[in-house]
Amino acid sequence: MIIYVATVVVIAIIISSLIAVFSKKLLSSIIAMGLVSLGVSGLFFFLQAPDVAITEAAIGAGLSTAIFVIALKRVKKGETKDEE
Amino acid sequence: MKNETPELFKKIFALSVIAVLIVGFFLAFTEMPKGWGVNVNGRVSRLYVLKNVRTATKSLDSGKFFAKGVKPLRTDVAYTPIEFKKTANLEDGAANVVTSIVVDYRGFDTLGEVTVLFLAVSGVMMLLFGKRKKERKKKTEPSLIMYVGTRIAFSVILLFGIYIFVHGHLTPGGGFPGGAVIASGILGLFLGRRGYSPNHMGLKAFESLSGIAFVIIGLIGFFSVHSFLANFLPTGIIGDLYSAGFIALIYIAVGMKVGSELAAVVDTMITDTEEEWS
Amino acid sequence: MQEFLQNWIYLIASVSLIGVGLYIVLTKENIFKIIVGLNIIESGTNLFMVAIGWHPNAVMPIYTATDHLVANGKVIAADPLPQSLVLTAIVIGLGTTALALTIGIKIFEKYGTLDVRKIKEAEE
Repeated sequence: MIIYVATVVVIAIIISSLIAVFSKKLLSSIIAMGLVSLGVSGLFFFLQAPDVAITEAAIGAGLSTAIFVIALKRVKKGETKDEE
Repeated sequence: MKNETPELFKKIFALSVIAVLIVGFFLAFTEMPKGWGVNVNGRVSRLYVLKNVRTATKSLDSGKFFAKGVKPLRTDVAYTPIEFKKTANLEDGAANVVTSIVVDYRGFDTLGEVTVLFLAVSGVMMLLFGKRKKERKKKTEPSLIMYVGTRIAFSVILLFGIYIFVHGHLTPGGGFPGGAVIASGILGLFLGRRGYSPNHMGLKAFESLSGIAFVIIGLIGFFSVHSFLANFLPTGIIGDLYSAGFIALIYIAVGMKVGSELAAVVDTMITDTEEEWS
Repeated sequence: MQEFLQNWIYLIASVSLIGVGLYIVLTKENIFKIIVGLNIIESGTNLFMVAIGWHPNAVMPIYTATDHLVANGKVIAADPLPQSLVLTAIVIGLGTTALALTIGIKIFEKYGTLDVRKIKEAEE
């Protein structure tokens, strides 16, 4: 039963990663990367690895996204100038 | 714009590389056993897991159960509950097997990992070194509710981080997520007030002292058990707070080190610096 | 259907994450976007490593959380060794990501752009 929930989560993270590829703004691709990390931490819990799930949720989805946004704030001019 | 590769050619090249990767993965994995065939019994860690519970399993296989009202969680495998006994070997005693492997079985690797993290943080601080701007541009201050709320939340988050790394040998967690949780709390303090700056000497002292404590605990093991990072404390009963020997001590050191290092990264990247030299 | 999903869904997820990240790294020009792609590749490899230590009837490798880690003399817990490898790899990933972002900030301060092609033109 739980494998169907995992399937839904897998589809969600694949859609999030595609958003990270094709979005024009850098900020939305960073947020999509955080969503991918969050979904992967849920998958770790389904894979019976609660330690890894806690670590991924605290670091991958929390601190990593925050550090990306902070770094993006410092190069804000470059982001608006160099949109693809 | 000379010699520019066409956009279409670039995308086709990337897609072909990814196709080769995917086909290789699936060809390799159709050869692997799947489902019930994937069994931990054929792996190296089997010996490590079985060492804790061999005596317990022997008595449980003979058909003893818990209380009569207790129903098994699943019926597809034979129900064999575990009795917690006093452990014999020095590497036993942690209820969380992952923690036992990280700190005890592969403790030297954890020391190297902490060193790599220290090098990365040193690189960040060296590259972003600079003088702090005295006057800030006119930016909106966060409201009073934000300021007070983050300070109250920080105390709770700090307590939760300490709980995570003190109970690392009993529950999921450990030093690395505990330190990350503490660093998230400090990030919240940065968001709550403009111009917040933590005590840099305190961060440096925490980081250095916890790194030194890690090595000193390893050296005590070297001189008493004749192996670096060997467990030298009694292991106790599985499930107690005072069990598993030195795992709690090492995880307290790792948690403080990771927390102060990640807080230093956040501090260095969030502080507006200007070039002093270049 | 359930058996197919149990055998393949985590492998499909990890391989598609690695593929998407590789596509970003190979085709995009913005440095920060390339670092986003590297992070996605890292998530995919971590998922792959944890998934090969798992089987459909596994339990958590924690004695206080589950009643039976060992059934009939056989270990039925998930393999704890790749989990501990991934646990340390995630923390290293944050450190290297912060270092890469810092180098990106320094490149922006020197060249005024994050586009790798414009940086190459400025070099020539």
